[in-house]
Amino acid sequence: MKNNIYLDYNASAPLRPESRKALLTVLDTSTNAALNPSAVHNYGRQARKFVEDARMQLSTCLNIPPAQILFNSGATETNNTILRFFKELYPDETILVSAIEHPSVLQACENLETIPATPQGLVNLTALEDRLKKEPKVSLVSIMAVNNETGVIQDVSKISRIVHSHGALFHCDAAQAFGKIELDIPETGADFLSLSAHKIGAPQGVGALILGLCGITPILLRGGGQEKSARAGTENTAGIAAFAAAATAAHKDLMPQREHLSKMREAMESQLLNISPEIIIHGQDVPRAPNTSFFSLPGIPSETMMMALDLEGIALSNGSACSSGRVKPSNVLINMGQSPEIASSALRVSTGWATTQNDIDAFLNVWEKLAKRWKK
Amino acid sequence: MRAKQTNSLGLPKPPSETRVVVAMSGGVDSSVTAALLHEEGYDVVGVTLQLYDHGQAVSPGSKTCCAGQDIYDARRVAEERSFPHYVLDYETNFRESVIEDFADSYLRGETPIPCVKCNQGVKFRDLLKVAKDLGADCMATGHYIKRTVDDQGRAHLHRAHDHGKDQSYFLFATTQEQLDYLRFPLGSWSKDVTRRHAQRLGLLNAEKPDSQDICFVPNGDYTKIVKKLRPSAEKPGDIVHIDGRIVGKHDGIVHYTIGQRKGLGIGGGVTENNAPLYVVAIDSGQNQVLVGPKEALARDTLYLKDCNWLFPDNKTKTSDVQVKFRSTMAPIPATLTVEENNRAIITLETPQYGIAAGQAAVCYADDNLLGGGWINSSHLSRTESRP
Repeated sequence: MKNNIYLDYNASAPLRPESRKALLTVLDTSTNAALNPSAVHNYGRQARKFVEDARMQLSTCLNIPPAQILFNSGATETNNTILRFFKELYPDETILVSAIEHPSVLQACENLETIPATPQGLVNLTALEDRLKKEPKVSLVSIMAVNNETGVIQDVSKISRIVHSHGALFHCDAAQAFGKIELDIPETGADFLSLSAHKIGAPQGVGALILGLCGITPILLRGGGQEKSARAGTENTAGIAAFAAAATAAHKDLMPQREHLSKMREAMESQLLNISPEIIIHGQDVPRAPNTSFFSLPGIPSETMMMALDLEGIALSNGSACSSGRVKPSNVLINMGQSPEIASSALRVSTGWATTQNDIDAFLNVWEKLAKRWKK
Repeated sequence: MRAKQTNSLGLPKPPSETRVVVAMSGGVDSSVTAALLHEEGYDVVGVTLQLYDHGQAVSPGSKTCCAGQDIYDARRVAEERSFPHYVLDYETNFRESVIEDFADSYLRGETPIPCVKCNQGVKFRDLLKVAKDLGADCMATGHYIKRTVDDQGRAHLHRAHDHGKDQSYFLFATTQEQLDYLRFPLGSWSKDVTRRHAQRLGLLNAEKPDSQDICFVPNGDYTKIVKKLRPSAEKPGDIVHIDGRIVGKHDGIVHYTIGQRKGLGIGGGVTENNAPLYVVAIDSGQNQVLVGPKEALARDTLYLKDCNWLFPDNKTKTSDVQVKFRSTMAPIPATLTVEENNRAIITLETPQYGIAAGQAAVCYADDNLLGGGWINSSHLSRTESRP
């Protein structure tokens, strides 16, 4: 009777079969001798081949030369690496970030200046331009491609042009965009990009820092020489191989997947509104990633909805649960100018490569039952 | 007659179809409550409240997003026994309903009992609503208090079987409506039995010591918290004898409670016979601590406000009861007169010492908890007959 439905892809996506296969291939090769890509011996060469093949595959997906890809542990590390590096490199200049960035950007270092967002979840580009014209000088602007909570897509190419025209560099956290929307890196014009493997169906703990053409290589971890001395620490060979396999699969599926997911979302949102007309869907009037629906049911706390759905076997979140399991009001919604009440009653449905219409129907069935209970 | 066949929680369906939310503190008692109900086959949902941030309370400015050890323990018990468990962030509710009130109470010269406020304003109000929203049939806690249901289906509370562990004093504000929904499976047990079950079930916190202090006051130093929240509580002032003489200086009324004798810092020679002096009143308006002989503490009439009663409304207005105004004291005989507007008067058979405003006066008929109220003021009507 209990469901077994996963609708929390934006937090972490289920492992793709292609990725699992690549992962196991490396792991199975490692039982005899360790696969350490830095080693001089035969096993080192085998390991290096896994890593470099992966870099090549990923470069095809992203339309950039392999040399611009640095593997690391994920977007949180990339965000920290870049922001801290710029803070240290240009201590007297300012780093600008949007107010709706992921905590790994907002809390990466002190004294960040924020650019507000509109009620629909778009970064206010007029405010961005106004600030770039003023002193103190801005060294770096960090704005995400797709918001993790709302799914709202920012016009990254346009932002990139604005930032560059004022002599600053542009970092884009693309963790939620990669594999969901078309992401042609040269076209974004970004100087740095953050990617996480587990958002597209690879294991957790792998990701990449993508370099643009500005010539600066931000470094956080030192002492080991790996990744051309840009990221010290023995490579996660199996994870990197699995990352590239998932990226290739996601890249191949992108167009049909987008169609499928956005159709399901459209139908789901209209049915949700039928059941609970008081629902507010966030970012509905602006471009969104096809897999994300973020809405509020005023009066019912997010954690109540999440718990009740979980007890029915539907796994989702509000996007702001911290590692202790505590649920916080959505900071993204607050910074979009929404009321604390709306921010505390938000819920996120995020789908992906394995989501079927049956999953959505099961969610809607449970929702209908719960909505009745909460109305009492 | 009662409903046909009921389960151990008094509900007419099998345990597997009965959802019960268990309020888990991370201590042994509530962990055993949850694990036992789960063992019985109930659809157990564990919930732990994040009420305060120890880091914040102790060293302001420290910012953690981590739950404390207690929350960790509760989660581990739930994971180990494999039932769902959630952490709810109630820091704001708790600060408003409990901690702020706690500090203000000291400023008024009172002696607060935050545990009652927490049960009243957080656990049995907000958490209970969550339990209902989750479709739970009832909510259980690990409190030591006995709940019975009479032939008419009305729920009653009684002191725990183990009087030493009895927590009924802290639960006097439970309303009849809340009581209908609540369950206290440990009420008939002694702590030994609970510990034995904890060991049998292999709970990882089976050996965890009982919590002693007020949960949000680290190391029992409540003055530190009050001073941080209300700096004026530290304002120095005079210690005044009830005959009007200034007999010393105090370093903030927060350091004094009614009935206190030690640490007043008053030398001898204040009274002729050098009889000990006690804090008999705290005048927060004048920022004065009033001291006097023990006799000045005697009270036999207590005026209560914000009362909660668990007996039917048509019950006679005046009745003979036993009363406690501290959790640990043995109940003493008194007469209760219930008044309008949730007020009441309690007349003690023999005068008592050390009664402070802000404490609760809780009434019993033998072991049956009748309810109680907050002491607003007190005085001595009769002169004590001395041996």
